[in-house]
Parts: sequence; structure tokens; C-alpha cells
Amino acid sequence: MSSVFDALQNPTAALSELYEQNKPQGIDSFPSTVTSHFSAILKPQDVFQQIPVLDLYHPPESFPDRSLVVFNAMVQDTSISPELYLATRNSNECGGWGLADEIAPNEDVQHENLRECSTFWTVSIPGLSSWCYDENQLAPPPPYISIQKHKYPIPNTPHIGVQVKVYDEKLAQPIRTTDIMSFVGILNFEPLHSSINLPSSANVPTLHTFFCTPISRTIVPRSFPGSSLLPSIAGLRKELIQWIADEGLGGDCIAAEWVFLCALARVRSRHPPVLPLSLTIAGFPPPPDNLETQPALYHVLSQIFPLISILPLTLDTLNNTAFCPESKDEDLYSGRLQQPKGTVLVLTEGAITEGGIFNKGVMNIRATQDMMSEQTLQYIFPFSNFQFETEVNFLVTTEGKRSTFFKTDVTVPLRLSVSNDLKHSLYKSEEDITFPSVQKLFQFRELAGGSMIGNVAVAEALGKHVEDDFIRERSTENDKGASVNGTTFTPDDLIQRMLVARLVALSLHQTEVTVDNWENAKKLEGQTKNRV
Amino acid sequence: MSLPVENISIKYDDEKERIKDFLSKFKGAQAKDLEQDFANIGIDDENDAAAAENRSLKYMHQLQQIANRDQQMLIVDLEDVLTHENTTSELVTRIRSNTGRYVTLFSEVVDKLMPQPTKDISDQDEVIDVILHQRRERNEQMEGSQDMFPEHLLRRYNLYFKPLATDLPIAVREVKGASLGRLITVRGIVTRVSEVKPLLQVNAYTCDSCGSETFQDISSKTFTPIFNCENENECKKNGIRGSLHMQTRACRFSPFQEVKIQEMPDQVPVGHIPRSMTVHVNGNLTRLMNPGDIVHLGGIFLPIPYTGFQAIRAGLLTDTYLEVHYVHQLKKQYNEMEITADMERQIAELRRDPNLYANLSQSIAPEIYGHDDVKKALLLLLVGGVTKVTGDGMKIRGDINVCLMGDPGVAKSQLLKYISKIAPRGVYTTGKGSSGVGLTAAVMRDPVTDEMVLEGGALVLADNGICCIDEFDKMEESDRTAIHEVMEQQTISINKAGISTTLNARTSILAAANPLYGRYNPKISPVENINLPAALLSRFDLLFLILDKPTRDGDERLAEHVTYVHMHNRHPELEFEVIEPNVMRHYIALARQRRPTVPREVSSYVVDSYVRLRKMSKDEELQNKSHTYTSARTLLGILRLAQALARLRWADVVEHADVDEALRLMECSKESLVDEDDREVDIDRSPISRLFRLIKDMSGSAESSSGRNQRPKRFGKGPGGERDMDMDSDEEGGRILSLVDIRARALSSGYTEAQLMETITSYEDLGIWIRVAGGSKIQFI
Repeated sequence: MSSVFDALQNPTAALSELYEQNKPQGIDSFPSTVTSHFSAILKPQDVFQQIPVLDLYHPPESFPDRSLVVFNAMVQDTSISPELYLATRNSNECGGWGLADEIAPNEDVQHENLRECSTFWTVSIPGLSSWCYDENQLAPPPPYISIQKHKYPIPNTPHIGVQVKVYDEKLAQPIRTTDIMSFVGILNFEPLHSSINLPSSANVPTLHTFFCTPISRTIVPRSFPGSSLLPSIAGLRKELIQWIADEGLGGDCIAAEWVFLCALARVRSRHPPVLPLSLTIAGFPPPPDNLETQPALYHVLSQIFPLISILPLTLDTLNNTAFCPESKDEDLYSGRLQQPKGTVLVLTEGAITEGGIFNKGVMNIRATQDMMSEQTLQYIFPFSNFQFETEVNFLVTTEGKRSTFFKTDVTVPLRLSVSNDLKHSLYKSEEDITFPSVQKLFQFRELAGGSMIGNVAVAEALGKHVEDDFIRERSTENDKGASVNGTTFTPDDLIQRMLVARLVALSLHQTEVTVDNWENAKKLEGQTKNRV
Repeated sequence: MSLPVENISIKYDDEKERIKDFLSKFKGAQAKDLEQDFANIGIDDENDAAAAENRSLKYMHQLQQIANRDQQMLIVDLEDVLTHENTTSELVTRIRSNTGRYVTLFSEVVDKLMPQPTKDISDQDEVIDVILHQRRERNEQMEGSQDMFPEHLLRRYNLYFKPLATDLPIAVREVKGASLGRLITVRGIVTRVSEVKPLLQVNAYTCDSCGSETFQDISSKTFTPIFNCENENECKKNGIRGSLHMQTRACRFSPFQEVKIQEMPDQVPVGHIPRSMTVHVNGNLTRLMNPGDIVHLGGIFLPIPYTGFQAIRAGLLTDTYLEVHYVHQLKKQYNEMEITADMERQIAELRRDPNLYANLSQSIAPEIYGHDDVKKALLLLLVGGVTKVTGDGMKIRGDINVCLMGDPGVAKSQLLKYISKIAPRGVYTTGKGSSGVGLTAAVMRDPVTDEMVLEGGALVLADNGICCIDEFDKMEESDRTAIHEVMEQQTISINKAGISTTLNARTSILAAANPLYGRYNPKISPVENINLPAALLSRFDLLFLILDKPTRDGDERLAEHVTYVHMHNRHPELEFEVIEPNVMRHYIALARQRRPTVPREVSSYVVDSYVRLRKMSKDEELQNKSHTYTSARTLLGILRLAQALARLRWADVVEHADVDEALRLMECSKESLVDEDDREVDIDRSPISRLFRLIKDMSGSAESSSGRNQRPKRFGKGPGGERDMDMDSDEEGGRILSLVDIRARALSSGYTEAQLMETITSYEDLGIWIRVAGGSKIQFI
């Protein structure tokens, strides 16, 4: 256990010691040795929990120089050029991980000792629900002045930004933008890797990685099917939907079911596209007095889903904020849509007023629409754009019959069954929400989390049923000449119903879609259609 | 990742001898050919011997020019070194792996070899040359004493290495630490260019007490100036602390520019963000690059150590940069494709395939089932006909234009996207053109230079390619006007923001359009469903109507496909072998090089067919059944399709069979419309449709009494008809009819109240009109 203690208390010494031990193998193998050594002693659950966490409650400045920390982060920028470092210092000691000699100007360095390390810019995970890491931290974090604000997707929001250096090439190679990962390593302050045109002397928090592990989209590990939930799952699902309906949607269970189902979806395949369904809740009244009030639905969902962001659409946000990440002077600025995979993104149209939408606004709307329908996002670079795959579930609330800007897969008109007092129903504050018991809430999260990661198969038998159903539906329509009113059941409708049936099965932690699920999906669609 | 370790065994004096040998003896092509490609270097010996007398020594000749101040750049081509040494393992390898050192070595040898100028200094020369001339003379006088000018102060040339032609350009992310100090070639797009600044190379001072000149070599970005005179003969000896003053005129500066290059989209692995690289350009290579240029840069990869405060804080090396030695601008030739041996083999195999036409067309968007004739048409669109320019400068378009019209969800967009990807210059856009540029062109402010620039829209970008326009019917009015010009004249005239110009848009157009009101309405005629002016439609060689008709067979296959995809999260296996898009692209590129002609007997056959078609068309028109119109454009269309078919076989002559197939496709395209016509006749007799027409006519007659009678025939009326159409569509929005009038008219025509109400509700559901004023009026949408 002493090696664990050493690593936690004095990571630099532990690193140097490892370097001495590794000397016979040469410096080329050292980065991978560091990865395997430290992940072996620090990864076990009980030890991992002892590593101090870098977050808004514990900002970088609160740690002594060269402390061992873990940073749960979203990778924002991977375009930064690799950096060279002296892997062996003049004194024949360990170099890298922030350890270096002072080099006098014009002094020649030993080129053969130069090695490369990859540099990334990482930020706190945007839209992370507060319950995910520590349930006790209910007090808001102390104010923190973030650095490099343009590299965080949500403007004017405090967050931690850290420059991460990864020395092991194998570790660095799979890292992509919007990945969420835990980086474990030594924290210090180093100059920002920036253009030599602008020698900035400001130092930024820098984490020298020992090892890193990807974080699941559910943040907290979940299982599918959740065996403890299974006996009462149908009831639990109903309760959850009822709770969403009561607290967030004025008692509308159908809308709540749609919200729940659409928030569970993820990309199953890109070619052919089997993508999440985007949802509009139509007839959602705007906030009663203050246009900036967030709907209670957002607070309710953030109790259940680990990653959820709200983007209140106003003419100002559309015209003046960046939705797509954009590279300016070789620095990748973030955009509102740069979100980790598995995020639920709530777009509210309640605060839209009359006015003009300008070029940037049009581009922003288009980018959002593309992301909804294709789950790809363009990052803007000079002279060319690059497309990145996304996995974000969209939920739009609008006052009208359909979304003002977007074409979503599903539109549900909201039917309020409780009081018309918006202040105390749709727009009640977080404190006014009636929570279920802690135990129940935990089960809700387990249910949702499991469904988010589950896989569901479509059996041959159901396939046959679906085919027959489709042909029957089409032919009866044909006979009736139902196309008069333009509601032919199209192939697209079939695909959508299939997706819904799969989501229904997932939400019940089933590993296979049953005929019942199919019929449920049909029923839900029917009930929704009747409202239009 | 091993870094270059200097080979100590190399004796630099030996190397200098080799270099001297090379520079003084290498015979290249003649001096005037210098700018030419070096492809002609490998000339066989016989020729060599014969022409030897005419050849000058390539580098000695250049040195003379440098001495005469006529040349500034000395480019040492590694190909020449290779030819001279006849091996890459010796000098060439050493130059490539330790380039910086060899620049010095070469320069030292060049200084020794530098001949006397054959031209005297004159007042035509620049000040710096005059100063250099004086220095050289002083150097000669001072020979032997230690107070000579440093050699590099006298140099008035820049020595660069040109990488081997076989050196494959790599992407920024492939440049690793192992490349440090090496000569590498990087490809990228220039994103940022700094101003050209003078970079101090040798700083000159004069002492204010002894008057002697002191020179300081500057090798890094920062330096500490010397303040005290170090002159051994005067100040030092006499113990005087003379202070030095900088002499700007005697200093040596080199123009310097910092450039940023970024990886190209094709170099970035999927899911990665493009990397960029700092590039330093010196001397004569400055001002060669502009933002947006695609370049191959040969240069030395070097680290930049931290300086000053940062070095004290971090003590590590950070940025790296490329010191450029060779700039190769790629312009349009970038789009040209290189054929590998493997590709050649695959193409030869394809050519032997007797079923080539069917196989190629099937391989277009293979996951989309059926639509064989549509795919054949798309294949011919890719191949294209032959563009001719007649003696008097008139141009006959060879590009084939195709329009796909149909219900939403019949995979039109997928077809378009596939074509735009496979075409060498394919652009996919939507008619809505939500960006400022639109389809044609716009004047935009350049983000980098902040100047107003003319930015080409999709049609200009697709010049010599294919422009795929989705939602063609929702095109903006300005684009619609422009597209007439593009589709026949193949140019775009711009008259915006004081810029008046004509841009080339030699592009094929593949358009997809939805019927009026979104879905195909079988209750109204095809002409009414196709919401496009006749003048525009006649410019399409082929027009296909693709409908989503429920049929047992089709539905079954479709449902099977959907369930398969959801069971396995992938497409089902195809029943035929798909030709790879890349192979197809190459095959088509080669086919496009053919220019098949039409022999006499075939042309008379075409003429006969055309005459027959004209007659048929006339008959149809008399029976009021015609939806398309056979015109001279049809004749050209047949020829284009037939030529494309011949090209596909790599034939130089169009055959009868080609014309037959072209006619068949034309027929198919027509049939896809006529089919609906038959159906329409049946349904059209229903009271609801008749009532609808009645109401529609009422609305038309409210403003123009001529509305109705022309409508069915309007399609064949050419430009006149087109105007009518445009007027109609303008008026359609917002016309209001009173229900009282409608009821009176309907009842008097023998319809019942129930039938009328059914008509109103069913068309309201279709979104064609809505009831307003509490149901007492209807308004067209």
C-alpha cells in the first residue's frame, strides 16, 4: 500500500522513482510504463476515490503545486500541435510531466532526448447534473473566474479549463473532441501552448497525465437490464412518467412519455441512419413574466438524466452566439452545440420575439437542424468545414403548433390538465418541485441510465408482424383512398414507429422488442395524432 | 520514434569536396530550361554525348549570374544531386537528414566557387550591391589579415534545396519529432500569412572612437546587442571603451514571413480536428503564398526554444516550425486524379464486362432499391455528352440535365448526395440556399483579408462538374432566373456591388423537386403537380416522376428492408457486386476523355426518330394528353444521351443501339408522367375533384378570366405559357372566395351540399385552402 500512498502524496517522487527503475529499458518505453504502473495502483475503485477531484469546489488554485488530481472533463480541442520535451534532463533525471531544466538561450539541446507529447484543451463536462459525482454538494460552488472562456460551450458559465498533456502516444491517439474522460495526473501551471506571434506569459492549469479513462454516458455506472428493477419495472416506468408529467408538463402523461423515450435514444447506426428522434412539445406556453425563467421540465429532467443542457432561443442568442465550434487563428472556439455524446439538449422557443434573423442566425438554425436530422455538426475552419459526429437528443418547446425553426421527427401538442397558473406548474422553480423519496429517485435514475446504454434486438417474429402490419395499413389506405387527406402511411412513418417501439422496449429494460411494444408505440402515435 | 543522431563519422571536409565536385561539374538542362519541370533529366547517354557541347554547367552558370547580380535564388535540386551521385544513400540522404548543416556547407563551397562578376557594378544596381561590391574589394585587399568581413555578409544569394520529386507530401499530423532537422515535404492549405518583415541576419556596428566596423551574427529571434568595441587593434589595445552604434545600412536583412498552414479535409482522419503548422519563409520565397492556396512545402522541420520568461518558468521546448526551402503551388490540378496500377487493372477488368452499363448504373446508390432507369439516366449524366463549339463561336452544351420529381421520402436526396460525392466536382445544395451565397454568386467580405470578394455559389463551384440541387422548386426567384442561363448558355452573369462579370458554369444540373403542396396529388394533372415553369422544364433532358405508391410487392420489400436494418443495424447484403465508387469515378473520368462522333447513317436515324416523335407529340397535343413537349431541345437531348452511351463504351462512334437506348430512356421518362395521367382520368371524374376544379376556376376567374382554359395546354406553349404560370403562382397566395358564391355555383351545377362540404374539408386537410371568417369564406394558401 505504500506505493499507493506515495503516488497520492508525492506523485513527482513516485514518477522519478519509476524513471530510475525503468532506465534499463530506455526512455522510449517510459510513457507506457507510467500508464501501466499508475493505472495498476490507482485505478482500483477504493484508491481512485481517494484521488482529489478537480472541480469548481476545488479549483486548480486550491491545490499545492504538483498535486495528484483527477479531472473529469470533456475534451474540447484536439487540434493543438504536439509539444516537444526533453525526456532526459541534463542531470540524467526524469524529464517531462512538467519536470525540466532551465535552458539558457542559445544553448543547444540534445536532440536525441527530445520526445513528443500531445496537448489537449479540456473543460468541465457541460450540462453535467449535480447529483452525478457528489450528492451532498447542494450549495452552489464558490465563484470562479474561468480562463479561456471562449473554449466552453455555454457562455458566461463558470467552469474549469485545463490544458492536458498526454505523454503516452497510445493513450493520446484515441482521444477525440467532445469525449468525456477522467484524466489522472500531476497538476501545475504552465504557459499556454500558443502561437509564437503572441507570447502570452499567462500560465494555465496544466495536467500531466499518468493515465486516463473514458467516462460512460451515464456517468454513474448502470446495468442493462437492471436486475433489481426488473420485477416492478412497468410500474416504476409509469411512476417516472407520471412524475415528469406532474412536475414538468402540467400532468400530460403522453407528452411525458414522449419526452422520456426521446431522451433515452442514441445513435444505433449511421449507415443506414438509425438516429435518435427529435421531439417538439407544441403549445408550450411562454414563461408568464420573466422571459428567462427556465421551464420546470428542465429541472425535472436534470434530476434523472446525467447530461442535460438548456439553450433558451432568443433572437439575440441566435444572431450573436456561436453554435458551431469555429477555429480562429488556430484556436478552436467552442459553440453551443459542442456537447458530449448522450446529452439531452432542451431548446426553448418561449422567449422568441419579433425581429430579424441575420446571417449568423440562419447558419445557427441550419447547424442545429442538421444536427437534429443527421447527428453531425460542422466545425468551421478557414477555407473548409469539418463534420463531426454527434449524439445529442433534442427536445424543443414551442408555443405554436410546430417549432418555429426546426423540423423535428415528433411533435406532441401539450394538453395541460392542471391549473392554468403557469408560475406554479410549468415554470415553477426548482425548490417548488415535489421530489419522490430518495430511494425512488435513485431507482428512476437507474431505470433511465440502464435504458440509455441498453441494446435491444428485433426478432424475426416481430419483423414478420411489422411487415404484415405495414402492408395491411398501406393497402387499406389505398382502398379507402385515404390519401385524399394526405395522411398516407409512408416508409418514413414505418421507420419512426420502429424506432419508437425499440425505445419502448428499452425503457422497460427488455432485450428484445415484443409485439406489445410495437402495439404500444402504435397506440402512443395514435393518441398523439388525435390531438393534432 | 527515434530522433536523428548525427553521424560523427562524416568528415565535413570530404563532404565539401563532394559538393564542390557536384556544383562545378553537374551538367543539367540549359539555363533557360531552369524553370521547366525536371522531368527531362533522365536523358539517355547517346543524346547526352551529342548535345553535351550545347549544355552549360547548370550550377556554375547560375553562380555566374549571381555574381553578376542577375540572380538571387540558388536552388539545389536534390534530383540533380541524385543524378550526379547516382545513389540516394550517400550525399542525398545526408542532405535530407541534416539539411541545416548542409545549407551551410553548400554555401561555403559556393562562396569558394563564386566566379568573378563579368559585369561591372553600375548605377543601375541597388545600394546594397554597391556596398557589397566595396566590401568584396576590401576583403581582397585585406587578404590574410584577420579583419575580414564574414563570408555570409557578402552573400547576395539564398540557397535552397528542392526536395526529390519522389518525396511524397505528408500531412501536418504525420510530422513527428523524428523529422526534426530533416528536409520534409508537407501539404496543406494556407490559412494565415503575416506581413513581410525584415529579419536581421548580420548586425553591423561602428565604433565612435576607433571607427572600425564590428559584425554580429544573429541566428536566433532574440539577441543581445554589443555595446563595447572589441577591436583588438585599436580600442582594446589602447584600453579605450569605445561605444558601438548600429549601422542599419551595413546590416544584412532578409525578408521574413510567418505563414500558417492547415491540413486539408482529405488528410484528416474521421473525427479529428485539422492540425496546423507554423511555417517560416525567408528571402525570395516570401510573398509566394496567399491565404487559401493549397501548397506543397519542402523545408526543414525545426524546434523553437522558449525564450525569456517562459524558458525560466517551464524550461522546455515548445513550438516547432518548418523553414521553407521549396514552395509548390497546387491549383486546379489538385483535382486531377492519379491512376495507380491497381486501378488500371480494375478498370481494364470493368471494360471487359459485357454487362457494364447495367452494373455501373446499379452501383449508383446501391442501397436504394429499384429505380433502374433513373439510375441509368444518372450514370449518363455523370458521363455527359460532348460539348461542341461551332466555328462561329456558338457553343452546344454537352452536359446532361436531369430532374427528379416526386413524393417526399423516395430517396431523391440520397441519389443526389451520392452523385455529388462521386462526381469529380460535385456540389450538393438545396434550392433554399440558406447561406448568403445562394446558387449563383455573391459579394462577400473575405474573413482573412477583409476585402470584398466575389464568392462563387454552388453553380460556379461545380464548373466542369455536377451541381445537385435539392428542393429545386423552392429556389429563390433570383436563382431561378440565373439557372435558365446556366442550363443553356452555361455561364452566370453577375451584376452586384459594382462587379459586373460573367462566370463559367459549365455544369450538369441534377435537380430534385417536390410536387406542389408537398405530396403528389393524383386529383390534379401532372402539369399542375409539377410546380415549375415550362421554359425551365424543357431544359432538362430527362424528367422522372418517382411516386410513393402503395403496392403489395414494393411495400413488402420496403418493410423487410426496414425491419432488417433495425434487426442488424446495417443494410442487407446486396444481390449483385457493387462497383466501388472510386473505381467508377476513375472509369467515368477516362470515359469523359472520349469524343464520339455521330456517323451519317446514325444521324439520319436520329432525324427520322425525331420527326416521328414530333408527330406523336402533335397528336397527343390534339388529344390534350401531352405533358411534355418535343422540341429541338429534345433532338439535342437524344444526341447527348447517345454520345454519353458511346463514351461509356469508350467508343469513338455513336451506334444505332446508343440512339435506341437514348430514345428508350426518353420514353421511360415520359411514361413516368403518363402513367399518372391514366389514373388521373379515372379519379378525376369523382364529384370532389370536379368540384375542386370548379372552385379553383372561380378563384381564377375572379381576377383573370383566361386562367382556366389555358392551363392544361400551357405546358406546351413555351415562353408565353411560362409567363402565365408565374402569374398564377403569384396570385394563388391568399385569394378568398365567399362560401355563399361557391355554394350557389356548386348547387346550380348539380352537386349536393354534402359533396361540397366533403370537398372543402378534404382539400383543407391537404393544406390547399383554409376556411376563414368563421367558415363563411375559404382562402387559398
